[in-house]
Amino acid sequence: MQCPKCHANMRTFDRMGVHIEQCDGCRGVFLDYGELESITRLEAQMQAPPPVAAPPPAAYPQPAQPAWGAAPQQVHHHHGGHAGYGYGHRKHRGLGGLFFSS
Amino acid sequence: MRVDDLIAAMASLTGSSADPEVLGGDRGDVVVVRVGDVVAKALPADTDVEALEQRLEIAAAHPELFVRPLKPLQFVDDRPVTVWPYGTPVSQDDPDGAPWEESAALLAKLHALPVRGPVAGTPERIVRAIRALPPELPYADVVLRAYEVLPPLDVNGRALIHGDWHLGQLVHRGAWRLIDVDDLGVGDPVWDLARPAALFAAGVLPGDLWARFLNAYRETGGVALPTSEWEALNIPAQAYVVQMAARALMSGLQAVEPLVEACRRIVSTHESSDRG
Repeated sequence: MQCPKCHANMRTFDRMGVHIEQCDGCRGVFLDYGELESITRLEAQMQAPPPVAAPPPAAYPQPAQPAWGAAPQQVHHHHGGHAGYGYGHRKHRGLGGLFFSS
Repeated sequence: MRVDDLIAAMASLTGSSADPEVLGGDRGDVVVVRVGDVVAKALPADTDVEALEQRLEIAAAHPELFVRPLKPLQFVDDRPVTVWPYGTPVSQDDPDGAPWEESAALLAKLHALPVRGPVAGTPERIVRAIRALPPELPYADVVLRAYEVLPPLDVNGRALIHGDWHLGQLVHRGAWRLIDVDDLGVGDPVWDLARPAALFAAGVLPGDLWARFLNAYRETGGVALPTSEWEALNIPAQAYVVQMAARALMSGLQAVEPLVEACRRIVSTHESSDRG
């Protein structure tokens, strides 16, 4: 089937007996009637903590990081304390190459 | 043809008698020359000329978004050359003062144009850059592993996109305008946002600058992000992290460390989801 949102192709995955369709393009997931309930039941049976939550709606001006993103505390500093980059040394990031090249 | 001869021939195309100044280019086979108030860009001989002509026409038709080309496509021997007015680039010294909002608004308006034109150069250009990474370089194994775990990159065209947007793709001529149409075409608009998204996710771009860009894009009606931004940006941003990590390893830029760390996180994200 085609993704109702971005019209890319959707692929079927079988997760513990529940068929879900995932879009190859936007990675959105399509559930048939009753599948959400099946997943909820399975989750309760497993008594596991919920899987990595989808990023919450961004509360500006604090934008959300993806699941694999850097933690806000994860500020990268160069040895010696000068010319760091990240949140601490805004004027000395030295990132011209990254912001400005292909 | 020797590069010196190419530069001289490009300079004569501009009609200016000023001394040519080589501004460089993003690849070895691209030469950009400034002559007075005119800039000429020579592309590789194997460029798709028909697509490039269509791209120039799009830029010429939208002076509210692009610097307007001064001439139709020119040639020096078999190399296509585009000719543009010079504009002031964005200062690299002050990321806070960069035109984040203006960029986002230009992209949002571009994405709203009728979907006509050649196929955009991205994501193919990203894949090309990653494949150019010599595997024997330190950390190349991590970067190439992150590339392997990525799902196939979306080539689903649903908007007109710039195809290679970054802050170096803007100049000021009375107002900020986009330059470099070489990858302009029909593609997924999310690719135009994925590079700053990748830098934010790697912990390199501060959150407030990313928020300025993102908010302005949405407020101008940008179509790339119908829901929460990471739903659409997740894989494209991962692809750009891998591409920038590959470039950083090859060029020795400062940000190798956070980009390689982000590649490690990408690998573990995909490996844990593959395990179920």
